[in-house]
Amino acid sequence: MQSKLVVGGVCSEPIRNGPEVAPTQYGGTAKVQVSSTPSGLLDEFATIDFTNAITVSHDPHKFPPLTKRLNIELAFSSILNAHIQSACYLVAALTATSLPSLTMLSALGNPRQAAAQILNFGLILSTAFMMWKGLSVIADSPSPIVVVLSGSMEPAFQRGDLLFLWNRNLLEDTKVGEIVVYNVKGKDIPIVHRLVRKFGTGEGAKLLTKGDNNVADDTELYARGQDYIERKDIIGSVVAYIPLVGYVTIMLSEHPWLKTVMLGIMGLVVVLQRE
Amino acid sequence: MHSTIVRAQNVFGFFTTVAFVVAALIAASDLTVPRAPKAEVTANSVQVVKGRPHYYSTKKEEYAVIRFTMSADLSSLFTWNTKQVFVWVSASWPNATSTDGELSNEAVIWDSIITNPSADHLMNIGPAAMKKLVKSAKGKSIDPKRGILALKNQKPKYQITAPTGKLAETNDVVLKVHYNVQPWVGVLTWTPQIEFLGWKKLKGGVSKAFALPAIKKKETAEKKA
Repeated sequence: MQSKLVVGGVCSEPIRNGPEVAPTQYGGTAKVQVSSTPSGLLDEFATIDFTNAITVSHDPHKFPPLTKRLNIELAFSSILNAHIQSACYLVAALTATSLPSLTMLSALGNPRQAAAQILNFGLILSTAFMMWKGLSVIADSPSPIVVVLSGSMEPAFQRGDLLFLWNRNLLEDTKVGEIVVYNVKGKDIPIVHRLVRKFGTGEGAKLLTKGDNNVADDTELYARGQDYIERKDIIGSVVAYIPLVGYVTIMLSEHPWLKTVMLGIMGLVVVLQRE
Repeated sequence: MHSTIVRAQNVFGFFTTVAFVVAALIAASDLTVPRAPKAEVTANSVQVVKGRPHYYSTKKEEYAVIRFTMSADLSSLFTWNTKQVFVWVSASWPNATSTDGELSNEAVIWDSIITNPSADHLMNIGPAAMKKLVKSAKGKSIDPKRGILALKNQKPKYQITAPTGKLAETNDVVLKVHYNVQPWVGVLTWTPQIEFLGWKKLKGGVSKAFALPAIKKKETAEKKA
């Protein structure tokens, strides 16, 4: 439930300079470096269970790049989980700092006041949740606001930019040229890319995507044997844009100590504020 | 009530409010600038060749290689809130079985990112090309001249195919010019379907219908013959 409060995490096409996984490393866990941007601006570390990765695709002779890629995608989904978690921290932190009465938890001696504060906290959380879900219903998208996690749509979108999605086809079909956020079958990684081909109309139309900053289209990113995505794979088309605002969530997920610092400051505030 | 923390909270709250209001005003300012883009596109030489989707594939598909000539004036799309304009040329064609002539297939054959000089530094290009790009605007932060395009017998960036792998002898193919304006903040806009305030539809931008030819024989075969 709590993870749904999150400003949704999106990575668009995580893989550029993936790790070279030597066959000897198969079968155990290993710490690998995942370069999340084409330029390798920010590298992230993740532990991958290679036994797991290999069952997904162990065909290194036939498709070496694909095997490599899947490994990294597995790694990336774990990073994404961390990201979602940190966004929860952020919501909690922002809520707490924006509410003076909450910072006066030292007044716990008075049970009536304490109860009011707890109710107040619950109210704020539920308001945030309702707004998120309300937006979700209006836009018909499970995640109406997303943060860009990679540079494959540069220069249009940088890491940390906030995108607003719309997932209804009121007047016309989703068409070529729109920037869509889609999920790949069997993988929990939403990707922000532009539609470049469309064959057919309506629900069954076959769609192909490509990142503006990538040389090749996304066929390689799709599930094995999947050449196109369909309308149902798309969770929304980008309609509006705010730069940088989402960078906080990326900072928190990439520098876990920031979370500690943030919680520490909050704790200090609670202790020091004696009014 | 008047502790440092409360003050810090107030300052932060005020800062975010101001930032969002300013961003909203900037986004709204887009509407005050009229847009009157126009474009012309014609298909030149069209070929259909056989090929494979990737190196390891055994599947043979037909690929259309459409050379085209395009001239466009998108200069009115460049304002202070324009980060980039994404321009593309797509080929559209109806389904073989359709009778209503609906262009139900569309594929991009060429695209280009045109940054406003204010966003040049974000382009993913080599240092030499970057130097040239920055120099072309000479300290200007808005350069509408970049919106004027003239491509002559341009080779397509993408060779297109269809899921069936058959594309030769398709009739009623048209080329269309489209654009997508990416703002620094605010709403993204695409080639409009309706006129809205000062924003006109794209004038022209659709080619005459043409047919894709039969598969071109391999040149080696021709030489032997």
